[in-house]
Amino acid sequence: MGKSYLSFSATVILQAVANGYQYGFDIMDMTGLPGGTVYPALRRLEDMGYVLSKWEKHEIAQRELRPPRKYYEVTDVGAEALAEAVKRYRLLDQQQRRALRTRPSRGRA
Amino acid sequence: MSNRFRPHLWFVSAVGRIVPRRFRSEWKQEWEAELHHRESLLRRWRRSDWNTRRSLLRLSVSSIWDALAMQPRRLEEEMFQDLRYGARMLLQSKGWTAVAVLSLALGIGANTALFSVVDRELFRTLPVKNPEQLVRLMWVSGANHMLAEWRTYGFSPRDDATGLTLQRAFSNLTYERMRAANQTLSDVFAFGSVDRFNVVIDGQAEIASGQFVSGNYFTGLGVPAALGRTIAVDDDREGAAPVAVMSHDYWQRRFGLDPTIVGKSINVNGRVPVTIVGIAPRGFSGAFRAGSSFSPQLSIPLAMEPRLIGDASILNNPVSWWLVIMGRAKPGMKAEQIRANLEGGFQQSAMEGWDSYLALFRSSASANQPQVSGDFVNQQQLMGPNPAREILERRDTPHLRVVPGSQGSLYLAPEERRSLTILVTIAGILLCIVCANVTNLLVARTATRQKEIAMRLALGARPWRLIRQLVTESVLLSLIGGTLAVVVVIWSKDLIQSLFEIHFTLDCRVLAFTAAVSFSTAIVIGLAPAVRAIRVDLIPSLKDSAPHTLGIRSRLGRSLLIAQVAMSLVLLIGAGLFIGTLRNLHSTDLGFNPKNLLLFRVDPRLNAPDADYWAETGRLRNLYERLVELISAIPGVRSATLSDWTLLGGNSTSSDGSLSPRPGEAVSVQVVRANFFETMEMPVLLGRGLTSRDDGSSPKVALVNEALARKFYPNKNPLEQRIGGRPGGIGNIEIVGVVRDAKGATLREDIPPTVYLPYLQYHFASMNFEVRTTGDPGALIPAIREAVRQVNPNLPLIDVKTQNEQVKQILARERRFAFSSTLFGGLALLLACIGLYGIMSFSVARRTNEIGIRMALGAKRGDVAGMVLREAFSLVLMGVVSGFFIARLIGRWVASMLYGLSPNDPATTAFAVTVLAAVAALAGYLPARRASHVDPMVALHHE
Repeated sequence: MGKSYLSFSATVILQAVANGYQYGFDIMDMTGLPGGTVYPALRRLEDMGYVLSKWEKHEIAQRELRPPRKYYEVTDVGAEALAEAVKRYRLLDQQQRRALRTRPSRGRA
Repeated sequence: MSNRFRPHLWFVSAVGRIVPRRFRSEWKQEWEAELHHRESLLRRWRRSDWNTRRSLLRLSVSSIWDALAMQPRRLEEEMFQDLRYGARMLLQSKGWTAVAVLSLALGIGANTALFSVVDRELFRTLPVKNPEQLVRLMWVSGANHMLAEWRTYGFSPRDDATGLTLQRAFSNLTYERMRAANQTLSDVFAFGSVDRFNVVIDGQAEIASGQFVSGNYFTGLGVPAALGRTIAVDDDREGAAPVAVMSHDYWQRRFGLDPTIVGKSINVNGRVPVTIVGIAPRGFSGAFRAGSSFSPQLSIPLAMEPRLIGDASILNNPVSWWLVIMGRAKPGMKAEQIRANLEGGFQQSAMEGWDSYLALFRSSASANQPQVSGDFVNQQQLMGPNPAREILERRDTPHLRVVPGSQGSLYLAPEERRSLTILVTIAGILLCIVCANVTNLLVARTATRQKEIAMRLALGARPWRLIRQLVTESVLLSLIGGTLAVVVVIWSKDLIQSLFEIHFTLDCRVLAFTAAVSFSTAIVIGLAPAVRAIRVDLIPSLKDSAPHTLGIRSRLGRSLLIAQVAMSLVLLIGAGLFIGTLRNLHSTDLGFNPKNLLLFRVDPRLNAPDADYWAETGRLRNLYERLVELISAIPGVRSATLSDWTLLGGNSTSSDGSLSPRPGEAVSVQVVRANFFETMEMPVLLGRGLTSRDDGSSPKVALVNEALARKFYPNKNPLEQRIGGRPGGIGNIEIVGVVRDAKGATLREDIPPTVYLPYLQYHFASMNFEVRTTGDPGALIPAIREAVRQVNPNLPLIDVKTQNEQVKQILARERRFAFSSTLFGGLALLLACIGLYGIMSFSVARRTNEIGIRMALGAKRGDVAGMVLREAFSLVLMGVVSGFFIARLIGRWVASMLYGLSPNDPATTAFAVTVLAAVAALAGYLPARRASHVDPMVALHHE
């Protein structure tokens, strides 16, 4: 798959997974993004090969009398993409600040 | 929390229903597990109240967005399913698929090939920056126009407002005035083509086409150099160092892309060393029109024109208009604003130019008239030496017109457009036939799958889903067909190139067209059978025999077949007509012997050491006589002669002035060497031929042809007549002989009344050689080159070809038509044959039972076979009748392309019908034979 840029929310979600928030609802709580954003983003990230999904062990689920949960892990490619995206957004941020500081006055020439 | 009331779980389970089936269980599990987990956490923290429940519900609601986001996967999934299924179905019947795919490939391929030609000729814009901003300046004027001569550069349409033909050539004076007045164009540039430059590169003489351009030509068009630099404004000044830009094509062909050519000096017209400063980008062939015959190989600044052309220079002649002017509109500028801006300066400069010309006239009555050639329209030459009053009273002011110029300066000639339209129509008809054929095949196939479809409908399949699946199959078919079509087109690349005389490239526009045609073909051929298939009566279809549905099928199939036969007949008649035209043109009586005749031209004017060199008496004549003498002495040459234009070369000179016996009625005028008639084998019927004594010092004489004698002197002796001189006065040229009629410039036109003048009595710089040989003329070319080199090493041979090659050249369009229509007609015939065979076989298979009963009841084999053949012929007959009427309708449209036969030519029509009937008989015979061999016992057990 070619290089594709991660959107800001996808970066945030990927960062959350990398930080150990592996379940959909935890990511939603962590990022404050709604499920309608988090889940489609996770599925896209999975298609892109940036995250892997796995099912929780049966024993744990059985103990709690519920079906096994699905959790997500960042792959190596995902980690690289994340580092790059973070760098990009940081750069953007810096530029934005600089631009705000040195915005030319729009008065008459 | 009660275990019974858990709306969030219900909600997720309800939403889960819209998730594609493949993902559904996992999707549900993921959401449910999360909700369960959250629930149990809350329970552990003892926080299960109404508030938390609401938040759980809110969480579950967000699952709806997740489910919606998964919808595209459903389509993807079903599409793959359809494709897989379709591919399996196509593979199941390989023969059927091969026939369908091949016919689609031929139909789409023919259209792709033609599109690539049409796209180039009709729609292609100049390969420059923002071509849509370009405008061309043109003018119109009444008959009393204030200029002596102008170049036409080919066809122009008429002006809407005045009905006068638009003209595109301007004088340098008008160009400079308009450039000075310009405020509406960001750039206005001028260029004028030159027939040829005589170029000496590395000591070798050759001919290159060229143009003079204003200094801002390349920057105005936005064309950068591929190598080196383009011409700059500073190059276009008097006294600047002579420079030239070479076209990429010429660079590639002549110099093999050698980059060291940039900076090299070449000698142009034997006068001036010119430095090549750059190469124009690939694909750019000037601003005349992409693919036109004006594609200059060398571009040289306008200011160089007087130095390179010498005394024939017309740069600063205010009444010889030859420069084409184009400009780039400033943003938002309308044509009307540009016209208003420039017209004043234009009209004023035109008037000034005319006044200066008249002043010149008055001062010297014997002013030398400029020599003109090529496609210059010359009004003045026809008026004789003393134009006097008529010219002095001319006062029609020309009016400026501003026309969009994204395709360049030239228009496509109407006959070219027409011939392209006809070819496109032929290819379109072929594609229609292919569509009809494949639709028929598809209908037959869906009919055999009727039971499967009915079953699926009965089991609750959605009709839309079934249609999509059936259409997917036809899309698959035509995509394979389209891919094969591209292969077919690439294979026939050489054929296309030689047939249309273009450089063929398969670019993305052409591929996009192929894809679009393939897709629309798929929809056309797939939709009708699919819709028909699902509109079935379930109950009878599910039973063992299904006569009802077959009835519907065959009605559609039959009408498609009739249409197919009709269109095939149209194509066959067209092919017959175009072949007949070609045959008639080939067998037409030329009036001279075209065999073993070599033609070429020389133009010594191009590299004269100085302007007046050839004007000196006798110098040109000595050169030509010496050349004729040397060439005649070559072993294998029977004789050699000269003429100002060649027979059947497409161009001729004509005059309706004093050379015509009745001024006002045009006659063809050919200037020839005395032995022209012997060499061409045109017998002198009356009087005497020309001799070498008919030269400048003896009385002027002329020969005429029979057509002239018949037309102008029906009951008189032409030998007593005189032509030339002042209108109304006694002619100064005596007619001394009558020559047998021979074709003039073209094969199609009737033989024009022609006057032949001895070249020794006239001053003609560039002449054509006609060399009659005993054997293959091509073998003598090196010897002739050597002979010319002996006389003048800087004199290149132009347009070397045999007379037969020349005839072939002027018949290029006819051959194109004959070839394409025969090819397409043959394909159409083949497809109609396949269609008929298919439908009759199907009909026989379907009626096996009935045939069995008939035979059991005593019908003979011949009866059964006859029954099937009758059915086949009734279909063919209906097709032939409708095709006949369609052919009559569109016959008028091609009438002007034909020669020697009418569009309703009975022999051609009869021939086409016979061929079609014979092939139909063959296609019907096999199923009929099969029917007659039906075993009644087996047949009765059938089904």
